[in-house]
Amino acid sequence: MSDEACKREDRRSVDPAAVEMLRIADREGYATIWERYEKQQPQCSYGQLGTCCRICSMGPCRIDPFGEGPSHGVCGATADTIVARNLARMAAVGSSSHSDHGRKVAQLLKAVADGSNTDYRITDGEKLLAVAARLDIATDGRSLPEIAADVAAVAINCFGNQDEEPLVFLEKYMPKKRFERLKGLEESLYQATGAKIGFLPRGIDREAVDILHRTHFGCDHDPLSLVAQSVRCSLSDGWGGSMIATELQDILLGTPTIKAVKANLGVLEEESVNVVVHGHEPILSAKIVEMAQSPECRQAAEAVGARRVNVVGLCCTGNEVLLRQGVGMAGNESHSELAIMTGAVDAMVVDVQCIYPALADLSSCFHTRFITTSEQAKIPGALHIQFDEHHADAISSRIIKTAIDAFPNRNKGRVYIPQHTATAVVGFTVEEILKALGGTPQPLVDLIVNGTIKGIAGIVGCNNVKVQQDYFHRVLTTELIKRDILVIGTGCWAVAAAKAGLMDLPAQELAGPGLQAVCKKLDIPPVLHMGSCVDCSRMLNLAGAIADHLGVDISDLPLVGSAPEWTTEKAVAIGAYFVGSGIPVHLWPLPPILGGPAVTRILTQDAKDVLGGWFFVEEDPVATAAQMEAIIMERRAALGI
Amino acid sequence: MKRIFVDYKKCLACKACETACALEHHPGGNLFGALGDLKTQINVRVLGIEQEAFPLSCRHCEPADCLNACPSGAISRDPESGAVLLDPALCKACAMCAMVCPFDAISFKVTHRSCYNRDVAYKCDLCNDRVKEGGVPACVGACHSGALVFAEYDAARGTRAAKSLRTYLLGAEGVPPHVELFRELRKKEFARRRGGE
Amino acid sequence: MKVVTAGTGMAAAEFVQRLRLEGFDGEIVMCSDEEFAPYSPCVIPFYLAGEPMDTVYWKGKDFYGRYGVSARLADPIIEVDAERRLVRTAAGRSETYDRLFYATGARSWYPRPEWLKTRGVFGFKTLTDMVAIDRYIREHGVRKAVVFGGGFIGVDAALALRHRGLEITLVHRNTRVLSQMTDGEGGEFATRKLAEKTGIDIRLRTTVDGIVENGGELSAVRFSNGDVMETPLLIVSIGVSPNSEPLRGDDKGVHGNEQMLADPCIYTAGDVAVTRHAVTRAKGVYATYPNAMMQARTAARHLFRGDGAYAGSINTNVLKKHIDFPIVSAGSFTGETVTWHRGDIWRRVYLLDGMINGYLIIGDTRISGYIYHLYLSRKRVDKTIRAILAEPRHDSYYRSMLGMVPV
Ligand SMILES: Cc1cc2nc3c(=O)[nH]c(=O)nc-3n(C[C@H](O)[C@H](O)[C@H](O)COP(=O)(O)OP(=O)(O)OC[C@H]3O[C@@H](n4cnc5c(N)ncnc54)[C@H](O)[C@@H]3O)c2cc1C
Ligand code: SF4
Ligand code: SF4
Repeated sequence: MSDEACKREDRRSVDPAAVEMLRIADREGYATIWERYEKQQPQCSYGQLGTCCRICSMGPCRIDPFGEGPSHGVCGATADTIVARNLARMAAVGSSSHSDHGRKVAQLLKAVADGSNTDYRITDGEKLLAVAARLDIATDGRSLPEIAADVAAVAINCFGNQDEEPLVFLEKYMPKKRFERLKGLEESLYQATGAKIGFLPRGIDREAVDILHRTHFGCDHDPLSLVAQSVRCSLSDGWGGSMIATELQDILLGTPTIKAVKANLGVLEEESVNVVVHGHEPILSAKIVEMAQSPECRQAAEAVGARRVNVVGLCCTGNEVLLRQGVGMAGNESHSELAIMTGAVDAMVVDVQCIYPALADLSSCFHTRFITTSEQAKIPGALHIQFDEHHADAISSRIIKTAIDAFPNRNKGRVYIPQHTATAVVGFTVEEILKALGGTPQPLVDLIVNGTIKGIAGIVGCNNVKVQQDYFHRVLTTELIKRDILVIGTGCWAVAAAKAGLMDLPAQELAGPGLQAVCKKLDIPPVLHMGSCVDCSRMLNLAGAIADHLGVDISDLPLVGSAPEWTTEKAVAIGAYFVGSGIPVHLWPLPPILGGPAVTRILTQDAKDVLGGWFFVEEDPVATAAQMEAIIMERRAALGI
Repeated sequence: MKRIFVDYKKCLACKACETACALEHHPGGNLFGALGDLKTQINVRVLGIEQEAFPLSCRHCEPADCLNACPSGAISRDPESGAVLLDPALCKACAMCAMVCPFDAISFKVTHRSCYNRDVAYKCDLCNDRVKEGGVPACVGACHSGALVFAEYDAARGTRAAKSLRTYLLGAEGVPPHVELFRELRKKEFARRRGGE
Repeated sequence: MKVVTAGTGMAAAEFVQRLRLEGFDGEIVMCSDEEFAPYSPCVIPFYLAGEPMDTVYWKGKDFYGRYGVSARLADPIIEVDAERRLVRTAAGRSETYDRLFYATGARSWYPRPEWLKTRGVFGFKTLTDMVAIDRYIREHGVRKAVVFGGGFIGVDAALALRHRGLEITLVHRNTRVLSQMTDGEGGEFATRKLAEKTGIDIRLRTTVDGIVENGGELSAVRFSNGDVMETPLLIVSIGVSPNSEPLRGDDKGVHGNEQMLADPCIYTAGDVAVTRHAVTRAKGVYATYPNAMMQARTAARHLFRGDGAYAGSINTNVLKKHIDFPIVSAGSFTGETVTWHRGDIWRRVYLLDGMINGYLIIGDTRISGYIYHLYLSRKRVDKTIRAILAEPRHDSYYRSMLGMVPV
């Protein structure tokens, strides 16, 4: 079905599999995010404008945007203070989510290195050496565990670092020019204002705690200072927590390589035990994929009359196992309920982040076992099987057994798997891209310089019920490649692009002539899947590699970002670390900032001069593509290319 | 006589009016008493109509269709305030009134004012006691943003469009630019979702 | 000027109240065959359901005193002598008038009037009926009843008695209850839902053909299919006929003109009056309270001020008492249909020349006021009605008013 036809068919999603499942949902009366969203109407505009403050118990306070009612909170906070504080807290939560994920990976690496964990191992020694080299850790004549222990120690120290020096990971990974610019900025602001305003993060945990502190009742009320700390905290995520998660997961689970996979609900198999892994942390999901292939699980599945145990992914944990282990990708965030409605999911196993609590209720309408595993994500109505890295093999087998046991309860009459899948060529890590280019960014730089490729757009983000599912992702991506802009990205955007066939080789035909020729020559799609949302760090690394190669700042490069369909606080953090790294970022839906005119100005205008990256908001995907192209062209002009 | 007017462009859907109304009509008079109490009566409802929000309540029409339809003598007009009042002790929940109210302003349920352990019709009472003491209805008092206004009912409005909502609308002027932008973007968002692109 | 009313019902009470509020200070005599202050028949089922008797006096129990009325009660008028401008009663009294307001309403119609001689068989129309039924239930410890007739009043009776705790069998000749205020499909939906929601045993395509008595008291009824059901209580509510004999000599109702005049000095109103429909202009008896009230007001205004005209009757009706499942209808069920149905809500509009010709709204009242006003407005709605009925949040009125086309 064409995009246009889908658009007319169901205002909720452009994905044909979703359209089919929603018809079933309507018929059977299953509640969905879309239905609950309708029930939430009208939603409070104070919240949408960001001018509702619930920080102290004299409140809640709201500022009347029309200027007739109260203009200050009880304490005297202005609309801008309230908006900036709320935004800072969003950034802190988003950064913490990514970073806490990274912390667990670092601790696991430590445990593997010292031998206390034997369920995991150092899978990618080459990557370990590369990371160690980056961190200036000696490798000559040392064993991999020894090196790994040092890498883990540096990483772990980034979280709890107490001195005033910038994060080691950030310092070692961020391109020189960017690092210097931020440092210079801190100094010049201090000279100009006499007040300390920091951009370079010190400790990962510290920057989030700093926000919790400064947004406490009666602390920081200055919009600029609050925005600066939001950027600093977010940078501790992008170049810190997320970077650690990505790099160390590659060491433990292997660096993804280019491979072809299938995406969309059609990856569920009617005759197999279907296990959907959903969430973000591959430490568990990768194990589940591994254990599902074990002879015992195979036999157990056959014993209940199933062909095999078919593990498929959803959301970012899906992206992780997709890239590393090539499993099928059932869908992105808005697909999570739809997957269960197929009646063919025997277990949905979740770790952390982006898991609708509604899944528990919905699963109970089916035979589906909804299994939570994380100490940090428990959901009433779910079966909790506590995950523990030290007993990963045993726990993973138990989870799979639970799914196998559920299989015979499947009501075959209720099973409906929409037969939609698209092929996607995925796994474009920086390592793979460089390998394809012959080991150096130079060929890519040449292509950009000679205009064959105008620039690179990085797209991230979620699904958001306020946007027709995947519509913005698809149209924006298609529009960009048409304009000879290479599109890279992660997260639920990547799943949307994969489902739409934009990551398949025939999508080359949709690209402009320059990009098309390049893709054909390299035998790659024009839209590159770089991983999960934590892997936005890979995009930073690619940008960094080009910048360092040319000896310029990221903000000089023809790069631009977008988070269309964004939903979560993690997206706020990603957006802010892109901006802090010098990349302009488009957002839709509206972030809750418009109630604060000064904050809006800082983020959309002043940031351009100060940081070289800024935010802009646009509702129309074609107009967004045009703006992104204009930014790229402006930067090309500034570079004289 | 005064009536409640609506400036829907200024309605931010915060539902402070709903809460204020609930408390005003709850025997406990406090939020914790009213919370989770299924008998809590809320006479104003914030509708979401596309990107707009609209607080809906009885318009105290003149003449009032509901009053003319009630076969139980339950609906009357306070000659002093002009409020159309519904007496739950007489109401038989027959829905003759709701059947003809053009504004969908009458609902039914078991409230704290139900006398016979069954549902009754309930609707806005214009906070008649407050108003007669010189105050404003609770919802108007709670509205921060000027979406609800208690003002003299100008007869000209009435004759222009006796039974139309338009009689009760005020036009927002001078909306600040950042709110104008917010409204514009939301309008686009909703238009696309509903297929209006 | 002396004004006499035949009847002390809803129309007569509204008429008298209006006259007094307008400032009429002449003599007023109100005559009735019953012994009560004006009461609302719509409310009387609640007395049976256990609510206080006083609430039936919808304009107050002290009505006669408050409005300076001489009441001649418990003595039916049997003849109106229009020549001599006087009425005669069963007790042999007569009352002269300058103006007569003839609003005697209607009475239950019985297929077999002799059944009423058996204790335990009642009509369901007057307060006298309710008082008798109530006493009978109390004295006999009645736990179950058969209601014969599934029209509005029959269903009203069934629901009230069920609310009182009786087990009810509702017997109806048609394929659906409320057959006058519903069409086939809507009526069947409503019947099904009523049965589901109330547990009332509804027997369609059935009549009560005979009764079994025992010592003068009802013990069982026999249905048309031959079944016999034991019951101490039978309510007969299969229809009503206008009390027009004293004035017209037959029960075909009393025609009122635009001023509600039946004769130069006789006004009429209410369930006895034949009027034109506001939309179709068809003549008929439109027996609901709002019509009776508007007719009475027209008459009062004309009597006192000499002006005004009746705009016509509307056959709107709603059944909702004792149940949270309203059934609303108006107009006639002919024309092109537009139907919307989801879950418990079922809505249908009949269109003729693009305008609403009739409607049936089951399950909620949220858009019924809007549809009612669209119906009366005679606007063309053929382009929008589908969307109006289907608006999932039932706010189509507000949508159209804010200039947003219903979607
Ligand atoms: C059980 C029930 C429920 C109803 N529910 C509703 C409802 O929900 N909504 C609605 O709109 N309508 C309802 N109605 C109909 C409504 O009650 C009538 O339309 C309305 O009462 C008509 O008013 P009226 O004055 O013409 O007749 P009534 O109110 O019936 O008054 C007639 C009067 O005439 C008197 N009378 C009769 N014969 C004589 C005589 N020979 N001499 C002297 N006096 C006489 C009677 O005693 C009575 O006082 C219901 C009716 C019943 C019976
Ligand atoms: S808005 Fe409805 S309830 Fe209020 S007076 Fe008018 S008709 Fe009656
Ligand atoms: S529901 Fe109550 S207030 Fe409304 S008409 Fe019936 S009796 Fe009167």
